[in-house]
Amino acid sequence: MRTRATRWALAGVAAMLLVGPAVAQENAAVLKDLTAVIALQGLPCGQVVRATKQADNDYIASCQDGNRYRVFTTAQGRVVVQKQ
Amino acid sequence: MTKVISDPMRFGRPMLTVTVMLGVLALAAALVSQGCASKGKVAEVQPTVREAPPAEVSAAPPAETVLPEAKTPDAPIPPAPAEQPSGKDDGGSPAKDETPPPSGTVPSRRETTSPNVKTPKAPAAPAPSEPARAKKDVEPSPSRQAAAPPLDLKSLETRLRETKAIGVFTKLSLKNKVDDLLSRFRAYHQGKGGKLPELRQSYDLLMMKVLSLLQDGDPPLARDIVTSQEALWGLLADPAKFATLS
Repeated sequence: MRTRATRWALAGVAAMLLVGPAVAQENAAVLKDLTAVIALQGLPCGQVVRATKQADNDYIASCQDGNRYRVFTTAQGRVVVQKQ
Repeated sequence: MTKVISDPMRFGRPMLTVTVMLGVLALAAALVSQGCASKGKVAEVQPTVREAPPAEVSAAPPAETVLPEAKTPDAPIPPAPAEQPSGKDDGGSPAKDETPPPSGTVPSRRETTSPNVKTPKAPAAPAPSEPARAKKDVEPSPSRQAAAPPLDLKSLETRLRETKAIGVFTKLSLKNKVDDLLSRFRAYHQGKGGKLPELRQSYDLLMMKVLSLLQDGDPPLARDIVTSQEALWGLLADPAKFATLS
């Protein structure tokens, strides 16, 4: 039992070590993407420091300067940035 | 007795001081002679170095007479300013026509460092190497310009879709802006409103946004967009070409 538990624990740790950086990279890409979108709209933000995913292509972005925006795409494929 | 004893002692001290003074004088003379010799050597070296620049100036006129700098060397003093503007021209200009002159000026400087007599021969050797570099620098730009025209709106669209330098949201946002600008162009060509300068400004701003997004993540695409920017504007501004696009 102990050996199984240790094996599972080691497998879990290895998975976290492997998946963790990829998730962090993906999150960084999303933050960068949201930063670019908000900047393209000409809205003040600076840099997006945190993003909460509400649905597919629907995020709440928290900016460095304290502003918060909802960034989402409409059915027509347009990107909308709404100040929260 | 005391006096006698004391006298030799007194006489001995002056003798010692005299000998010491003589030794110091001898050393000083030796040092002075060496110093003079070293000064002479320095003087010999410095004149040679100082003589080199005038030799350069003197060498420059023959080079001017030969070929390239017939315009720049009007006076003996101005050659330095004449070389500086040539360098500015190299950096600022697109460098098609003006690249050869700088190559000629630079070798002249290098030649100045070399001995006076060899200066005329030296320019010939470095000159070909630098023009070769200049040609290498110039050649890629025409090739890129030649490759730029094929970058029409469709190829630009596909390359923008494929690039990984921009996120999905950003791509969608850019697509929206491109569609908006195309609708404005459509309205302009249909006579429904809009002015060409305003469209040009919007086009330039959009290009700047695209380039700012691409220049770090996908430099080749950014370069191609820069080179084909005017061609794309030609497509959009010309009613006939724009009709083929839509």
